[in-house]
Amino acid sequence: MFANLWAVVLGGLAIGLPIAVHFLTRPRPAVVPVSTLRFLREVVEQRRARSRLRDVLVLALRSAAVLLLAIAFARPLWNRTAAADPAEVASDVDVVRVVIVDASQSMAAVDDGVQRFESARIAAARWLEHQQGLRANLVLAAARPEAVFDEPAVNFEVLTERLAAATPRPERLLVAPALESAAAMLAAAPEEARRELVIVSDFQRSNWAVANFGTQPAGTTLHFESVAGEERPSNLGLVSVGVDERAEPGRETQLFANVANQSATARRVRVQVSFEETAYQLEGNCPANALTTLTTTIVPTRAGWLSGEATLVGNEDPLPADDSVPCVVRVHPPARLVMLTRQSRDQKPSSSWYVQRALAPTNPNAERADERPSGSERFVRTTEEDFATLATAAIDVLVVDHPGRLADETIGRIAGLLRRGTGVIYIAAERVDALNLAGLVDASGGAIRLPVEFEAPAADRPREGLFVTAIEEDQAPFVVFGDEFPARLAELRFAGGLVTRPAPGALAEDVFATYADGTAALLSSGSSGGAELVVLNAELNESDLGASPLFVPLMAELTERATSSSAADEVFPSGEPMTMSLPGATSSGLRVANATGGEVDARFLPTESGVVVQIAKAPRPGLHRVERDGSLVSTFATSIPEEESDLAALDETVIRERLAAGSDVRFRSVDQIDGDEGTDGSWPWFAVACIGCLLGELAVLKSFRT
Amino acid sequence: MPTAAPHSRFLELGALAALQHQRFTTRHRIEGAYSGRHQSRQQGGAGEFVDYREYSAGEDLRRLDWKVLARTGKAYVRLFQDETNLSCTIAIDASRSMTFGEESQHRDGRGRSKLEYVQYLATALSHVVLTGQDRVGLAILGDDLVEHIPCGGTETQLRQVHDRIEHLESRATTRLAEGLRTLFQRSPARGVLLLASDFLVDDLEEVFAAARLFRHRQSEVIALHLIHPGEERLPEGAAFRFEGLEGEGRLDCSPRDVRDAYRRRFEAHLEAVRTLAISSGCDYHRVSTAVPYLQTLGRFLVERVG
Repeated sequence: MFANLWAVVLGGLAIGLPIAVHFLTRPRPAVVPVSTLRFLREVVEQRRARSRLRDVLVLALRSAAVLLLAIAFARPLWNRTAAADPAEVASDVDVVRVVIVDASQSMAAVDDGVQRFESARIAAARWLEHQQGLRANLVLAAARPEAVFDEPAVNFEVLTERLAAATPRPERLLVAPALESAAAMLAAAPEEARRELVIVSDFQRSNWAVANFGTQPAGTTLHFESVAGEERPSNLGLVSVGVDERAEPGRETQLFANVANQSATARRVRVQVSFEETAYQLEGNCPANALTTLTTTIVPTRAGWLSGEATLVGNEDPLPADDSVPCVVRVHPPARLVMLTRQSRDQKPSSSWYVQRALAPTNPNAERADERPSGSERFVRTTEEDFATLATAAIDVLVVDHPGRLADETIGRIAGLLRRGTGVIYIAAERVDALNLAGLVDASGGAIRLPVEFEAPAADRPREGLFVTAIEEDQAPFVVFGDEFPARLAELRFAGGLVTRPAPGALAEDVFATYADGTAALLSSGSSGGAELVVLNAELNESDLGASPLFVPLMAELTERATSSSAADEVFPSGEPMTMSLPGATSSGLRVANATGGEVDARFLPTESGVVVQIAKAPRPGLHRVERDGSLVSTFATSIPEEESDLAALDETVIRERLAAGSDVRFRSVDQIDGDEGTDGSWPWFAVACIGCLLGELAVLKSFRT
Repeated sequence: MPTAAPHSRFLELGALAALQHQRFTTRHRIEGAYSGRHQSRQQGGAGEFVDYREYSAGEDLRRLDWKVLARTGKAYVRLFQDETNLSCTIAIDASRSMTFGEESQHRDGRGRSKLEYVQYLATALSHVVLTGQDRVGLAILGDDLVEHIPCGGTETQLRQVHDRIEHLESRATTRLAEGLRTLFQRSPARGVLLLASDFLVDDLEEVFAAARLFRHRQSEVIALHLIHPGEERLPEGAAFRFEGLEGEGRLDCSPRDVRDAYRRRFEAHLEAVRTLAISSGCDYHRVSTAVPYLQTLGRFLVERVG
């Protein structure tokens, strides 16, 4: 096969040209009488054999030179295993063909000035040309496969029109649904028909590495047409922007930007994050082939939503679509902390007194027993009886300390808080706390999994003189304390608390600190709502910790960890199903509006703790609003999935020998598809051979002394 | 001195006047029917006085009749019976190849065809022979002996010879050897055979084998090898279609490819003829038609006197 077939035709004509010129321009011989031809004949005969050999060699070398030059211009493609040309399918065989075209975001990348999707369009069009006996269907695959017809059909005109109108979507490619869709269509084909699955894609490693072609019907021929270039293009992608901690007005918060450097060289990167009223610059070095987090400190001035856009400044690469992402930061009102305890506020010192002093040192309102948390109080102390009537929507963190034996209703309510996203810090000090924690786990229905099981210590073996020997220094709450914290913590002595033993299947890293006797000192468990249940296993009134200067910052960190504020919860991948929780909300009157104000098809499901918003297909990248009667209830962002920034393609060998092993596979690359002057390098050798033939001709003429 | 009326266009008496004192001699002893100046095979000098003959330069002065000289003032020699004359047969190759060069318009001997050249040369030589009171005959060789005029010494004989030479026509095919053998059979007497040919024959060995027949009879054979300058080298040019004059067909070739080889081949042919001629006991003379025939004849006669 040739990149420039016209050159071969021209070369064929060119070979005949010197012959034609020779015959047309050769001089007409003059007639000369000679006395005898005998001498001439002898001489000519003598030289004829030699001349004939010389003439044959010269003609052969000249013709070869012309032919080689033509082939060099024609650029033969040798190094590819050519996929079957659609036109080669025998016209007397029925063929059922499904063409999957990758329409994910990475297909918008530009290789050598040509967008991958355009190359895919050209390649796919050849497979959708009318052919006798062919039925075909087109599937545009991204987060969800979209088939033109329900089954392969003969309406090639519509297929071609849909292909012509298709564009890459800001979504990632989910391979499995597309393959399953194709498999279903091919399985329904008649037995005698030839089945073909054509996949036109850039075969991104991040998408195709787990592809399973075993679901295709037996005997299906797989045609892979790759539109990715041979070399992986360098690309910088802005993955996500947000905050990792609870943002509150007046409080310093770390704004981060995750940048993926999909190139072989380190890059200096600058990100501009623009909110409505302010803009922030993040700058730093991004190592090659790595995800780098750039940070800067912001101080929100008011509660609400900070929404805007983050952009890579001054970046030019094959995929501009991932150079900007929408970002949204929820600035929470100061956290409302509620402490559930049966201890009297007047009991000093006491465990609850230490906790209150650490969490609300200047809240005079917390001294009032009948205090109800409102929008302004940050810390409220309550009893179990009052807790039953508290508005749970007003609680951001619940601290449970010396509550006594809790009623099942109370335990159920606490479990509901966790499901809703409210963090809970439980100070496990008394024997009844073991029962309370076990009840809490049961009430969660499996949503809460503690890494340990608690039990009351033996009466004759009081827990005292304990010290912490192991902590998870790289995790909250300890990561902010620095290198000296372990030594200082080891100086403290603890008493009280519960005996713990590892729960079956638990993760060891959920235990942040361990006593010398092997029992857990500090541990955590996730919850379905994203909030955590943190358990501090100690009697603070009998331990040094409460009076230690470490206690206040430790409680602040535990409080931070116990909350469920994460900017990541508010950014969803475009095109994919999404679920968003609206704690404390009701479903009446809610609507979701996309970035342009249009309504998004969404379902609102009431739950114990609020409303869950379900959207079957997340809108295109941008900022979107959940509104009720025009008022903002929540906001969220959708963006291009991080995987689409990595433009590295799977090697042909991996596809053939691992993913599609055992199948009839044909593979073709973009060089063979769209006729680009590809990577084949054999043409210079043909040019060299042409020169060699010309030199050979000179050598022949010289050797025959002509 | 016998004078011939200029019937033949090839007889240029005015030009031949320069050779009037030249005689055709032979270095060999010959046998002739009449008294001539050639030394006979027979031991001569004492034979019966037969006649007077005007003295020619170069003759033996002992034969001069001093009395006649004193009396008349003219030099005469006395002829005795033991002095004989020669019979010279001029054999002309009338093959078509001898017509090579007839396209030329030059009339000074250059550019004439070989045949035309021979016609002039033979006419002149026959005149010289008869002038020397020798006998001359003619043989035209084609595919055989086409025409034969036995040697004679009369004016009529000479005129007949000239006439035949003038009306000589080339033959498409030539078998020179066959013609010579036939001539040999018809010429029982010894004499001189002057063979004028270009020797472009296939059976060169046979030709000189036939010549050796004459040599065996003690006749002298003189080979005049006619060469046209146009034969020695091929014309300049890119492409030619060469046509053989003896019906050999055509040959297209580019002279520049074969010029050197042809020249060597032709020279090899010349050398072969010379070698065969000499080895056969013949006198060999290479005659170029580029040289005026009178010059050729004069040189020839002088060389023969030797």
